[in-house]
Amino acid sequence: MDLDMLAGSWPIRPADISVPRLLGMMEHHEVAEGCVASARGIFYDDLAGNSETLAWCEAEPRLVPVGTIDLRRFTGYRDEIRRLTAAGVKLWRLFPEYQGWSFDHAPFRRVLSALEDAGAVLFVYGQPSVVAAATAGARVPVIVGTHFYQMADLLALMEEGTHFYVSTRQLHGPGVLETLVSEFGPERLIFGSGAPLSALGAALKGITAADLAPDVRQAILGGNLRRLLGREP
Amino acid sequence: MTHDRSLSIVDAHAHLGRWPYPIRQGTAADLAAEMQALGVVATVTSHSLAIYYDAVEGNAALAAEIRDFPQIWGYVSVNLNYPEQAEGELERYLGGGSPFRHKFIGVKVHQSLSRRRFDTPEAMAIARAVDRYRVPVLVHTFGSALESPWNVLPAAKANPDVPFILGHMGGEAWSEGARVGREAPNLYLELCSSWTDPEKVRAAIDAVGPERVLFGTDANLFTLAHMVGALEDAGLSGDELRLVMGGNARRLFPDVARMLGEE
Repeated sequence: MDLDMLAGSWPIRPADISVPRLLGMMEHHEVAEGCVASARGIFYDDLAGNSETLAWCEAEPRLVPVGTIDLRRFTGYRDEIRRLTAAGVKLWRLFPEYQGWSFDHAPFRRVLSALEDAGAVLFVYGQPSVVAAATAGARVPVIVGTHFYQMADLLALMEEGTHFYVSTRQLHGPGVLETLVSEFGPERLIFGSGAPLSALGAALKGITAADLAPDVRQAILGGNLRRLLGREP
Repeated sequence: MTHDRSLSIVDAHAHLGRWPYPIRQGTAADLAAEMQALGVVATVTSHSLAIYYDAVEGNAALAAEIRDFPQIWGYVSVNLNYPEQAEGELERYLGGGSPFRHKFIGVKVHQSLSRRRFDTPEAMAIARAVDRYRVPVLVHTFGSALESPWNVLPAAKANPDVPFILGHMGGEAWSEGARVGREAPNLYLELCSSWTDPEKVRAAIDAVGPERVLFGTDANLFTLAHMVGALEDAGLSGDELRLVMGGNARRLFPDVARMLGEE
């Protein structure tokens, strides 16, 4: 199960991120389920993007819907979180890396509170210590996406007890996965690829080639995320 | 999908040495084991000590580390802030009588770690000096002005017999790397990056043809698996894969081809 997928159009570089391409990549790599958000919700209209995401996922059972709120628009966020929660959405993404807001932006606190009320899971990219400060005390499980160049920050926070989950997408440094598993257990790691913007094969091979026990690998590749989202069989 | 082990992969961009991150600080033996596991038969490395701190110390460390590993080769690193030292290092490792010549087969320049662009007079002088040795020059390129692939173009045009490899193909600015590659026939595009955009590989081939695109991994900073997996998604034909994954590197580095018994 892949945490980190987008679909739609990609306005900031040439890329085919259509739903058929995404599904083709999943089939090629035997990825059973992909958590997908519409890029329309990042760049143009979060409400329309969320509706598009729901429609894709209704038509294609391998796709799991991911909701988003554009914090630059903000108004109506509670209604939107209620609407998608009623439609079964559990996983939410916010996109500061594309929308240009920072985690000390007041709308982030309000949206986090509403996600807490909804029993949601939040996935964001960011500097771990910044995300930790912005989500301290919140009852929302947070999956952070970060490059392994930020591993020192991540390890220090986890030593201090910050209960992050971590996307594997950018953890391609030697021994990084093995260190996180041995120090903090396998349940913190969630497989994410960034497909179709990034190569699904690169993300998968990083897991399959790592020195991990088969049950740990399976947990990272899907078990952990399914448990977090309440989708265990 | 498992990768095709018959490809006999050659990695044109790798490293040895330590890194300022909490990752496994691998040795040449670790790299050799990882190569074996992933079907990489030869790799050309520079030492992180040479590019981060002291080129002379780092080149010496690399010579010592790779001595007993026939599948691991070396780039001589030069620091653009020290042109005279750089010329000395070229002669020490690449000169006709050099005891290291059988292991050092290229030159490495890092624009951002030396805070020096490759279009400066100092870099042009070094590029002229490399022309005496006729080995490829791997230049780190990324998206900032300091690291831009465009910085390499003047030296490439002035030294048409020297192959210049645009390391990372401009990184996240890979479309710029592809544009630069079109500008001179002695420019090669090397693919490794944290950003594994599937379109990047096709853009490289469309820009310069499959004969001037090189597989690289950035090991031992990255796992080898990262870029091996990325190339599996590039949608290349069998012929393209054979060129990109090793055929072109064998042509650029004839010592590697000889070691592999293919020349």
